[in-house]
Amino acid sequence: MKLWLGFAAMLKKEIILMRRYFVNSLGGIITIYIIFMLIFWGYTGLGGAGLKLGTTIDSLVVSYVTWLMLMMAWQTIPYTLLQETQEGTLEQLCMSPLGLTVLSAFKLIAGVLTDLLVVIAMLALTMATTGTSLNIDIISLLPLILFALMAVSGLGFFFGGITLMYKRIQSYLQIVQFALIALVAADPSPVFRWLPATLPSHWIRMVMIKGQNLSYIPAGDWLTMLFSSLLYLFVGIAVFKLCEAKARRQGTLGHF
Amino acid sequence: MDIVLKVNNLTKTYSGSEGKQVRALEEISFEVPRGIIFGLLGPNGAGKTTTIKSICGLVQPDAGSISVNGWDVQCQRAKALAQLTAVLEGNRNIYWRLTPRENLEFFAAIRGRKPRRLNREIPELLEVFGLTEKANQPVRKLSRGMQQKLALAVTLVTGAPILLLDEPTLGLDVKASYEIRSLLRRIVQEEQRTVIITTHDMNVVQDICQHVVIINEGRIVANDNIQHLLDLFQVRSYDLVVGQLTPGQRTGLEQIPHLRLEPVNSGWQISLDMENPTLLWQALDVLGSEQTPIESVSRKELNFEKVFMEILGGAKA
Ligand SMILES: Nc1ncnc2c1ncn2[C@@H]1O[C@H](COP(=O)(O)OP(=O)(O)O)[C@@H](O)[C@H]1O
Ligand SMILES: [Mg+2]
Repeated sequence: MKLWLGFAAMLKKEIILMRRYFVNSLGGIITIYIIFMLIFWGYTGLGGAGLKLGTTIDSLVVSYVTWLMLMMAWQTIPYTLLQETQEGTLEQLCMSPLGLTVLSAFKLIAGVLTDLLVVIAMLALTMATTGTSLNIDIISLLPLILFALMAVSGLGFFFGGITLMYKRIQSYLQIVQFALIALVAADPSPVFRWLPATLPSHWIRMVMIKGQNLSYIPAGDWLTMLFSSLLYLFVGIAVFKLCEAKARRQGTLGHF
Repeated sequence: MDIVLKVNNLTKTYSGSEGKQVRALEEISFEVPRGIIFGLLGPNGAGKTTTIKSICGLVQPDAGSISVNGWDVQCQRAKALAQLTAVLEGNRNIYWRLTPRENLEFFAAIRGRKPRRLNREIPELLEVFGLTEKANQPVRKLSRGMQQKLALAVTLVTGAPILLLDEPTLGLDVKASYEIRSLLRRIVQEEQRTVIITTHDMNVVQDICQHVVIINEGRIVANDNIQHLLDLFQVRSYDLVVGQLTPGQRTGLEQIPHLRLEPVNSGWQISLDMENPTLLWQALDVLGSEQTPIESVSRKELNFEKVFMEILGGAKA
């Protein structure tokens, strides 16, 4: 009951803020869309030659939208913690009997749900302007998206923990943003398939572009996705908890 | 008397930047009874905030224990935290992009309060704190005093019986500071909650606290009832300002024990001990012999600020 009240409050806050700052959100969406169009024009301008990543426009659209979704999910925790630290509300969250880890997870889930609107809008927009038609098989996409989100959530907790200890980390967070492009676009070679979200992103492309469904995914890939996603998530949470404890010892939890 | 908070041998050393060790608290112990306003007083850097944050579980002490209504902050964290609530930075512990009402709803919910009771409680709180008119405006548009009042209201809506406030009147103008003080008195009197405040403002302490602990450089230098401290340091003396004295009068007065004579603008100031009234008669006799005019007679009063400075001075000596 307490958990549900906490989550409902977090989701409500997200929705209120999204509506109140709708113009800001809109500006963000337009920027993201313009970046996509630049890549798209650059790509078609080059006649599709020379680019190894995403060999088709379809692949470009899917990879871009996947990246967008994962990026928004990944950065929710570290950026929220930075903001809560600056606003002085972090201490209040830490003092909730639910604890900072649970509240951060709630915030992440609430964030993913509200960001979904942006992701869907961007998918529709990019599909319309590039004239691609993709296979949107929700049943097949759902578990793959979940695996990818779990892995990047692990990254989010990891960097969130680092944020708790060192406040001046913003520039490093931006590097992760770009690293995420590589994770999404990488070919799932025997080594790279273990990277966070790489294998799920590959299968998302297979479903959306090639029209494959879950039965195409070999058992080994299922296990890899399940195992690595859980691993990244739990390692991320463990690091987060360690950093939180360290910040308590240093006296740097919250504003200082 | 019920004890709601026990702090026992609390010790904290920060490892600051470049391996510098900062000793913030050294074996601090004190107890807080229910239903009072308890002051934690000390100059900047004394260790007040570290004490408060340790009680809230935000700073992990090196040694010592804290128990809140019987729950240990380290071992029974969730239970202990449910007993307390805090404002650590005046007007900043609330969401500036949300309205007062939304803030109250949010913080109540993450503390597990059920919405049904809040429907009645939140409008009441807004009313008492004079925020009803601003209930639906974003907090960032409110005055600092209002923001600080809202932060206080947020602590109440959590339903916790113990409030910890770090410098609750810092940065407020006189009016807002008085409003906060009277709200605090009300909270303690009408709701039987316990309020622990830190401050370096003596007026605040003298005005609202019943009991104070004074810390300096991480150690407790006084732990006493306010009235007691004032009595202890009350200088029991009379000051008389009189007109010009003849040399004979001066020698006469100087022979009276514990009497101090100092020249002032138009005459002399005589300070003498109140404990022994016969000394006053003697002095008056000397003055009466020449019919020296008496400009003023006053009993020396000592305020808390002076008490504080004397205690700190004593601690350094
Ligand atoms: N996180 C921290 N790291 C290092 N030193 C700290 C930290 N927090 C406080 N200090 C130091 O500890 C001492 C006590 O600080 P504090 O508890 O904030 O005092 P007060 O609230 O009484 O002004 C000060 O010397 C302060 O500089
Ligand atoms: Mg302080």
